[in-house]
This record gives sequence, structure tokens and C-alpha cells, in this order.
Amino acid sequence: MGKKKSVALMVILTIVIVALCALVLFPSVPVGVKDWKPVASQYDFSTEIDGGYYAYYYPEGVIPEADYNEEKLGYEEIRDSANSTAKEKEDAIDDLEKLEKDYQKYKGLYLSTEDVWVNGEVSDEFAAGFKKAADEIAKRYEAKGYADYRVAVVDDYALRVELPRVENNYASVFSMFAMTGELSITLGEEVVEELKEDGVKAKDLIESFSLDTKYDAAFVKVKFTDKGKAMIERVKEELSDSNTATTALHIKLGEQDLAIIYSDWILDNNRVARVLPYQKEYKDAVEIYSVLLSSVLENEMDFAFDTSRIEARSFSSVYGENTLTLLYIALGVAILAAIILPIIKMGRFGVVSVYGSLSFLIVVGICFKYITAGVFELTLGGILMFLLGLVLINAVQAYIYRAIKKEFQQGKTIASAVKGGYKKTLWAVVDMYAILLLGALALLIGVGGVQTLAIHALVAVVTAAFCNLLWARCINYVFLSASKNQFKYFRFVREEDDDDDE
Amino acid sequence: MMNKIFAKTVKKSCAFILLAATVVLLAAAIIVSALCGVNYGAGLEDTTTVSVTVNSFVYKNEREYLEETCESVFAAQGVEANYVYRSEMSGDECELAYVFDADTEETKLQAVKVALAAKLAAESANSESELNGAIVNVSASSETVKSKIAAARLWRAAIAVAVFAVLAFAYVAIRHGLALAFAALLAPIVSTALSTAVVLLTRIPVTSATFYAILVTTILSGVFTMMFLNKLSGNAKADAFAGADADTLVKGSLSSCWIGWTAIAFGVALVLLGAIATTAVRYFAIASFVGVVMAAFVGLIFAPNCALEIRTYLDKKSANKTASGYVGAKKADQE
Repeated sequence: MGKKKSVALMVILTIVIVALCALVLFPSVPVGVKDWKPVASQYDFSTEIDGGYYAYYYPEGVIPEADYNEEKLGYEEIRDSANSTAKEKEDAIDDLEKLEKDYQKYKGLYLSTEDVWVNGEVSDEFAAGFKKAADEIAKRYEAKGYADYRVAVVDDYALRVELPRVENNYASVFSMFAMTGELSITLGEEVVEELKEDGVKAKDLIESFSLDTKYDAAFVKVKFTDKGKAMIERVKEELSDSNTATTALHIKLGEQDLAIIYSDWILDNNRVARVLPYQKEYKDAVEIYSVLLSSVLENEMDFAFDTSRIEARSFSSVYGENTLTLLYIALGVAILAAIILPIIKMGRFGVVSVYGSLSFLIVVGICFKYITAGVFELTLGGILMFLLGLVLINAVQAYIYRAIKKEFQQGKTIASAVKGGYKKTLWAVVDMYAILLLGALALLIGVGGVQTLAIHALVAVVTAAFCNLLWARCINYVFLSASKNQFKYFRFVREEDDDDDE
Repeated sequence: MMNKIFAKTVKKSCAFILLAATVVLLAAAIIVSALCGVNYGAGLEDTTTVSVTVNSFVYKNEREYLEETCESVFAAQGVEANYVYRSEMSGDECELAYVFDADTEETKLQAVKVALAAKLAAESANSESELNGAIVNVSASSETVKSKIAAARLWRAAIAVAVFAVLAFAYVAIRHGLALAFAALLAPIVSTALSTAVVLLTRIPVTSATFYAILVTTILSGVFTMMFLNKLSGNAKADAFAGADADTLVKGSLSSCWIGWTAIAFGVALVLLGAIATTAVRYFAIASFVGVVMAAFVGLIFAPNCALEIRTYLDKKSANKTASGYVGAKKADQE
């Protein structure tokens, strides 16, 4: 390539890389680009870095101390107020007495003396019911596949659940995952005949619920048992299609309608139905229903939580609001080191490394945001993979530099040495990235956060491989063509040159 | 020079000793964890909490003063919070939840709660105070985490490591022959076992991020092992090593420089991360550092010793074949 063309290409490359780096990293420019948000500020991080949401689950018959005190204070204020009428004061005294009689203090909770606190202790039935419900709720959150979540038992008889900030449907998740009860199937308002038989449950009619997608839609796939298939065959003619919706099969949890089955949604010879269809981008929301329906199908529970007390709260990182800022500073220092050190060690060849590192930063930065947006949060594992990729890109460039230097020291010309160096290191680099790719693919077997890590690892590995095997070579070719002194480019000195100097 | 140092660690039967040591270390870690429990980090550990709920106006305008008041009460009571949840709600209520160790005595916790409630009530009633008119509630509770790293997640991760080992085995078998592939099979397993053992024995706080650190550095150990096996395979065909015994070949094929400097660079990046970032990231960086050290150990010491045993066995087999004078039928026909 001619020198002029090389120089022009170098300048264009530099401008593009600088602009893309700005897109990924830097805050908005005040003039002209008002809504510019750098990619780095848009990540969904895990709870330890960026906080998330949490809520408390209180069983029916259990109230938190704060609510008890608030109610008690309300009655006391009316009782003690000079503005209250005698009747109001009397009612307030009665209400206060009833409150104190109806509830028993237990750690940070108040337990109802009607059915929870019985004969001076927590009833066995309540304790057993709570344990079963708590286990089931923990399983629901696990089944949803979060990389990062927390379910804790508070004061023995309440729950605290946490979700990462990536969960946009956190309010739905909190309220729906607290639902318990018996699953039923109704035709219009009436329970189907099959469920009226003694001992027959919804599980005898429905084999499974699962999340499925087809074309641009996400839905819950209902698979019926033989008995369920017979039920569908019996009622199908009475069912309306989804356009008229006069009569349909309802899948209910207690009194709550969870899903509706229309005639045109029944497939596979009445064996399968597709319910809750939404556009594919709402797959996450549909998954909430799928997890809940699967859970209640397997585990019917009498135990209920008071869903009116479920209030979602947002929290920031427990290690301080500066966690994210300090993390970015640390990564910034690492990136700066990846820019400065190669230039110090390898001269102008080190600039190739710098361009490779910045290209890696741009591609991975954008892919981490847009490939996994709204689905996977960026965990510390993903950040570790980014660091690993950055280190390996520079380590491989150093390896190639050494190989080129060795070739040059055997007396070859620069062009031959470069060609020989790249040839001798090619398979070693290919093998290295092949192993990394196999590792990333193996991680896909994991669940939750490990799967998230696998996706981030795949992005980092493929990008680093591209940067080392192809991109850096092209940049080196362009830069070398534009270089005035190829010896100085590599910081190579021939022994004969030293002798000539003498 | 690095090659000379690490060449001294390549000895006959050393691979078996290292494998045995790995098993012993892992067993010790499991026993210690079973007896003393795993040292879980924030989010996975059981805790006690003191929660202060306050109306959102006060939270948004006087949060700093509120926190200072709470911390002064804790100091007076002789307790210190590990960390605090600062949370907002969609309604009028906001919450500060101070988290203490799970073994904080119930009586102590209640004393803290009572003292804090009295102090905040006094501040709320005081017309001069920044918290005047605040609607405050204080409660204390204990939390037992149900969702510590689930058994299913651990099993799937262990299977992922095993599958990675098998895939690495298959790849190396195709590239460099079946014999050397055994080193690639064992390397990730040994790296995972050592990293897990060291993290558990040194009581580094374990969170789900620790898990990721061990998995990533397991893959790194595969990379380091691959670099060594590449060089070994290349040298085995090179004229410079023609007729060389297994010991000379393996010692001459160490990639100490590249592996060492890559591990050092990665280690320095992690030290930087841990030094600058907050506690959450710090423990993760420490666990990752342990993983990188183990990956480097596998690439620099375990894999060469493994390869030495394999090459020695192959050389012996080849020597026996030559000594017996046996010549295969095909070769005999050619001759």
C-alpha cells in the first residue's frame, strides 16, 4: 500500500476509533447532542454494584411492627385528642383494646391471636405452612433464572425478596410470585365437570406449563394430560375464538384469572394450548406467568400472603453510591495502562496494540449493552471477562512482537520477519482462542449468573480473537506501510548498523 | 531466566504428588466448611437488621443528618453496622436498613432499637432539629437467607467445568495427539479444585461473584496449558530437540515468560481493581487473584509435570517396541 493511502487510512481509523470511544465512554456534549448518553452509563448491573428492588412478604395474620405501631398511634391520638367527641374516644379505646388483644408481639412482627399465635405459641399448622410457602417462593425466584437475587426469612415468619435493577417488571414479579392457592379451570364462571369429581385436581388435567416462542410471539404453552385432552374435546365446541371471547376456559388461581383459553388457541389434536400471547419483546413478562403457573400446578398451598402489603422499594448498592464510580475509575486505570505500556515496551508496534485494545473496548462495550439489554445484567464476572480479554489482546501482541524480533535477529528483512513472525504464532493464537471459546460454550450449561457469564464470555472471546487475528494485523499493515523508518517502527537494530556506527 | 526457575519444578512423579496434594487440599476445605460453615459475603449471609422508616420529605432533604444520628446511637451502644440499605418506595415511606452480624445478641439489638427510637422521637419533637416533624418508625429483625448459592447452580457449574475439560481434551487430542490431551483434561479440573480450596480455606467472603471468578480463571488455566502444549508439540518435531529425552524436551518447552507475564499483568489489573473499588469488588478481586495464581500454577508447574509423565511413558513404550525388534506387518512388507 502506498504511503499516502496508508496515512489517509490511519487518520480515518483514528477518527473513527476516537468517536466510537466517545460514544461508549464520555458524558454528553452540551451543544447539539442533547440526549447523548454514553453506553457505559446504560448498563444494567448486578445488585452488589448498582442495587435493585426489594419487597417484604407478610403472611395473612402477620403484620410488621411499624404498621402495628402506626395503627396504635392513630387510635391513641384520637383517644387523647381534645377535638375528639366522646363517641370517637370510646371507639378509639375499643379499637385499641381489640388491636392489643388481636395481635401478639413476636420479634419484629405482630402475629394474629386468632389463628397464628395459639395457646401461647405459634401454631404448628402456621409454622409448617409458612416453611412450605417460603421454600416454594424461593424456588420460583430460582426458576426465573436471575443471575442475582435474594430471598431471606425475616423474624421467622416473613420474607424479604430482592431483585436486580435489570428486572423492569419487578412490581409484577413481587406481587405474582407471592400468590398461592389452588389452581382451577372454569368454563365461563363454572368449574369444569372433571374438577368436580372427588380427588381430581388441576394437575390431573394439565401436565405442564412452559414458556415458548414462535415467530414474533412469546406465550405460555399448556400441555394437557389424557384426561385434560378429553375435557378439551368435550368443551371445544362451546368455546369462542379469540376474536369474539364470549365463552372461554379460564385458568384461575383462587379467584384470580391467570390465563384464558380460546378455541383457536388449542392445537396438536387438543393436546396443547397457547395462552397469554405477547410480542416477543415481552417474553420476560410472559415468563413470570409461566413460572407461577408451573409452581402452583406442582404445589397447591392453603397458606396465603397478604398481597396488599407488598410494596416494592428501590435500593442503591449497599457498599455506597460510589461503588459504580470507583469501579469505572479502576477500569479506566486498567485501560490507560493497556494504552501506555505497549507503547513503552514495543514502540510504534505498541500503537497497533492500543488500537486493538480500544477496538475491543468499543465492540465489547456496545455488545454488552445491546446484545444483552434488559435480559442479562452485567455482573462482576462479565467485567472480569472484559479485563481478561484486554490483557490477552496485549499479551498476544507482545508474543507476536517477540516472534517477529526473533525472525529479524536471524537476519531476515523487516517484511520477511513480520511475515515469518505472524506465521509462526498463528496456530498458537488460534489454539488459545479456541480453548477460550470452548470454555465460554461450556459455561452455557450453567444456570442463572453462570449463563449470563457465558454470554459475556462469548462476546469478549470472539471480539478479542477478531482483534488479534485480523484487525491488529490489518492495522499493523497500514501503519507499517506509512512508516518512514521500519526499523524504528519495531525498535529493531541490526548488529551491522552498530558496527557501521563504530 | 524464568524458564530456568520453573524447570527446577519439573521432576518425575511430581504430577502425582501435585494431584494428591490438590485432593487433600480440597478435602480439607470441604471439612473446614462443613465444620465452621462457609464464610458468605454480603447478600448471602444471615444478618440482623435495624430498620428506620421515615417519610420521604425528610429522607430526601435530611438523609445525611438522619444517618449521622443513627450512627451516633450505634456508637454509643457499642455496635457498628456492616452496611446499610438505602431505599425509596413509591409511596411516602423510605427506609434505612442497617445490617449487623447474625450473631448480634437479641438483647443488644433491642437495646439499640429502643435507644434509636427514643433519640429519633426526641429529634422529631424538637422544633430546632432538622428532623422536626419527621414520621419515624424503628424496628429490629433477624434475617436468614434462603437463597444461598443453590445446589442446582453448583452442580451445573461443576458439569460445565467437566464439559470444558472434555472439550479441551478433544481439541488437544486432535491438534497434538491423544497422549498430551490428558494434560489438557486435568488442568481445568485441578485449577478449579485448587481455587475453590484456597478460597474456602482462607475464608474469603463467598458471593455469587466468587463463583464467576473461579470459573473464568479455570478457562484461563486451559489457555495457559494450551500455550505450553503448543510449544511442547512444536519442539518435539524440531531438529533442535531430535533424540532429546522427555526431561530435556519438557524443560525446554516451558512458556514461563509468556504465561508468567500474562498472569502478572492480569494480577496487577485485579490488585488495581481491588484497591480502588469498594468492598463488594475488593473481595471479588481477591478471589479472582487467587484463581489467576492457580491458573498460572497449572500452566507453569502442573501441566509440564503431567507432560513429563506422559512423554516418559511414551518414550518407554517406544523404547520397548524398538528393543523387542517387533516390526508391524505393514512396515515389514514395505521393507
